[in-house]
Amino acid sequence: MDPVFLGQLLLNGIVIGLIYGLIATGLTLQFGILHIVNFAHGEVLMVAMYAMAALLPLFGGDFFVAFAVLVVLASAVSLLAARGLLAALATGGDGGGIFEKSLLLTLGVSIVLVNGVQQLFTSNPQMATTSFGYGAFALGEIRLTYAHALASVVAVVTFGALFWFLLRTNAGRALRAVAQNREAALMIGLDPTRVARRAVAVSLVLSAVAGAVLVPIIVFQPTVGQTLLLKAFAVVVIGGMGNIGGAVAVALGLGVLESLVGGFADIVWQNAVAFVAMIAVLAMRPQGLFAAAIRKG
Amino acid sequence: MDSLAASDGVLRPAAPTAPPLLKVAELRRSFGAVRAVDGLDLEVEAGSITGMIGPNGCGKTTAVNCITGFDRGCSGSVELQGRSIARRQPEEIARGGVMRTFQAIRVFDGFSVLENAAMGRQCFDGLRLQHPILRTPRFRQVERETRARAEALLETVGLGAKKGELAGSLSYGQKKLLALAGILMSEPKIVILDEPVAGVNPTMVHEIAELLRRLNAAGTTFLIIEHNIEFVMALSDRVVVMDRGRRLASGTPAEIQQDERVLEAYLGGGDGGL
Amino acid sequence: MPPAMRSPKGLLLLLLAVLALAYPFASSSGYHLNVLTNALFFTVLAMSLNVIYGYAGLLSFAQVGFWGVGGYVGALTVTRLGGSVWDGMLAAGAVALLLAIAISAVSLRLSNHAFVIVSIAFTLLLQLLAQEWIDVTNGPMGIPGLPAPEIVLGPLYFAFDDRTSQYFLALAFAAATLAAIGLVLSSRVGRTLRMLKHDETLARSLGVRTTRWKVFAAGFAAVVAAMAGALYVFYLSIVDPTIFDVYYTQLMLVIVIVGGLGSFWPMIAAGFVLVVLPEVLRTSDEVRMIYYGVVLIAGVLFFPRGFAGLLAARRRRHSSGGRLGQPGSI
Repeated sequence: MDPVFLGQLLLNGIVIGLIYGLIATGLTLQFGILHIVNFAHGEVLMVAMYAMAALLPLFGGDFFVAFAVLVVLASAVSLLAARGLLAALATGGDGGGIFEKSLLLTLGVSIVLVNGVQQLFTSNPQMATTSFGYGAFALGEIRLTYAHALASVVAVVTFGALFWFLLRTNAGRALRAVAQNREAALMIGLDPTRVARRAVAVSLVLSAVAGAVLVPIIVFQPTVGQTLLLKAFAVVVIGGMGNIGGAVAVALGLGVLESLVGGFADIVWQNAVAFVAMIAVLAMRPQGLFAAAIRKG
Repeated sequence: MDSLAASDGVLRPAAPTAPPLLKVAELRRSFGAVRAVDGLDLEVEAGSITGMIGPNGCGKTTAVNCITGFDRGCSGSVELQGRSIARRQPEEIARGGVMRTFQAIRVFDGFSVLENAAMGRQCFDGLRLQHPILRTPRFRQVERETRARAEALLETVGLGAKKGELAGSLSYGQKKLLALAGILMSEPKIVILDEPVAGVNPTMVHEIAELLRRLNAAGTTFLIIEHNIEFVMALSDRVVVMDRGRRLASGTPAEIQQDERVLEAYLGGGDGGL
Repeated sequence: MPPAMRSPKGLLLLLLAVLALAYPFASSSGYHLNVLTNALFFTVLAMSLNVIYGYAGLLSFAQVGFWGVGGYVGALTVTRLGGSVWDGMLAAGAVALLLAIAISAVSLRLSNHAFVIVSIAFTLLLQLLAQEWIDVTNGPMGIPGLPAPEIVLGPLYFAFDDRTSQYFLALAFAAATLAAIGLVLSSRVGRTLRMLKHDETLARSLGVRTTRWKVFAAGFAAVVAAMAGALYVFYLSIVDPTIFDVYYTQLMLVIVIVGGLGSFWPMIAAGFVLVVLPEVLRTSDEVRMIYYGVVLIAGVLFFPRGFAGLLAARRRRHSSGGRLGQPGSI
């Protein structure tokens, strides 16, 4: 076996795994805190990609400036969106619990966004040019493009910040407390709605960040979010719904596995890996590899 | 009335040597470090009204959930007429003749009072799927009987005039009566009432006591979990006092009222006097 | 017979039946007939979702999966095994029933949420299989050239090979299926499913074997969706992976929610209105999807009980005491 080829596959797998991780952590965070599934989570990423593609030319293709502007914008929009989603989940009723309602509402939002963007920008594949173009680091014969390297660094820094937030700050501790036991959290004076709003906002920003770093890497269409969401969904189920550490680990594993399968087996199997793994986990260990988070009821 | 509530031949008074209708032994349930039920023993004689009292948080409702199968994390033995029903699914325990009400009252709000009563019967009339779907003659026959029985029972509990109304429009106390009527539809071997008079006004408490007495006279066995000690003492043949997850004392109401341990527990617990 | 079939609703129904039967003779537009035929299929599909979600309270994303399974099994029965279209429909129903029992029995051991998750995974997996298992499904190209359904009875021969006859076939299928579903749902079987939805704990305390009933609802809904899907692909004369498109899921949900979860006639009305209206408005596919998305969101937020809920509220205002509690409804 060619070690260069293998190394290249591993490296590519890690990069894509990190990006899956960014999307999956947000999804699992929302489930952990609110017991909701967000079908529109991928569309946040998609909209961020189109926004990034629009911002880049404004700053002469400077990725870093555009990225900074996007993160600021995404944070503001995410806070509003989180507020809106929670308000929406609190109205109406009858269709089942908050879980069912979240699925229906976010499916509606997802479809409006995909088709809205399709209507505005057509479904033609989009590409964006950035200041660092196609340049790459060479590690021996293994290549790592600047764009891939940047995506990895951003992802790792983001995970670091996320875990620091969850483990070291009061807001993060409150968030984990609500995820573990809502009633107990209420009793010690935490406001679950505020905590949930923060969690949703953080997870939406994570998805937007994933979109931003993907812009220089892939060609994209309005349906880009759906494909990636399905992978992230598989990651969340495999890792144990609500388990952030599990999501990151499984995302990395899936990225690497997909890359290897794509390199050595028929390409069709690459997409199947996530689903085969998800079905296997659901059949044999339905609470996920890392947690027992799906509660009865 | 007699024909309505008579259970299958197990009429009182029970012979002293007969095994109890319901026998619970060494029942345990913990939530983390808290032992909600901690080795409870309990017997209910056929044809009796057995009352179970105890201070707040002593594990009464948890015990009911264990006995009726709704709490899946319990250990210990539960026998109905000498056969184990421990760890069976709640619907199977209900089908075996152990029926319960809930402390937080539950009825099907969107259905009529009559329908709510009829629902208590549908799992017990032995009709297979095709009968109701195809409206077979046998189904119509059963439906007529169910309807007659439901109307009679609603009369018995005093809801005869309300049968066409939505269950959701009933008062709290009326819902309790409806839940009881629904349960009686299936002629259960034992009825477990979880706080039948909590939150009910004094006049109605009296009516409910009378009703239970009449039903019992007609042959229904009751296990009543209740906070209202006066109510339990007035009604029960035997009383079980629970404290910290286990049986503190049991006996006739008169015996219990003399029991020093009970007085101590109640005076110590500060949960109303005897 | 559903209780609603007694007059004056009976009269209205008769009128509708006459209209439906006479329509092809009054209009020669193939386009109009196509829209109506689609409305018939999609209404049946939506009713299958209504059985499991509206009645039993189990949100399922597997209905589009069963619809697609039905399409593929139906097509393969004819193209590979040499069966008739009717054999294909039966095979589709049988396969869907087995799959539904398998996925619901496994996931419901865990929770209703697990069922929802598994239903999503199930549909995704089928879509993937349709695209990638090329030996069987022919991949994205699909299986084209499916034959028209035909009836051979001794010397009698009839092929449903034009718009009008296919419309009548769809009409007969929809009427039979909806009548069968109505018969089941208006009996106490429907009531039992509604008991699960309203208060599962209470239902169990009354002896209802809730898991069995949920599996029953899942199986019933799957068979209906699969048979509809099977007939539909012979109408299209092709089956390809787009049969699993999220479009169908969206359409089903919108119809069920706008009509009213757990309603019967209002849901059927919603099926026709929501399929026909976009055609009248002649919108592009994207705009139509946006409409559906907005209607779905608005429905969930502001009219969670749908058109049926509005009707019920109106009825309650005009007369105290609903039809529940009348003779025959226990």
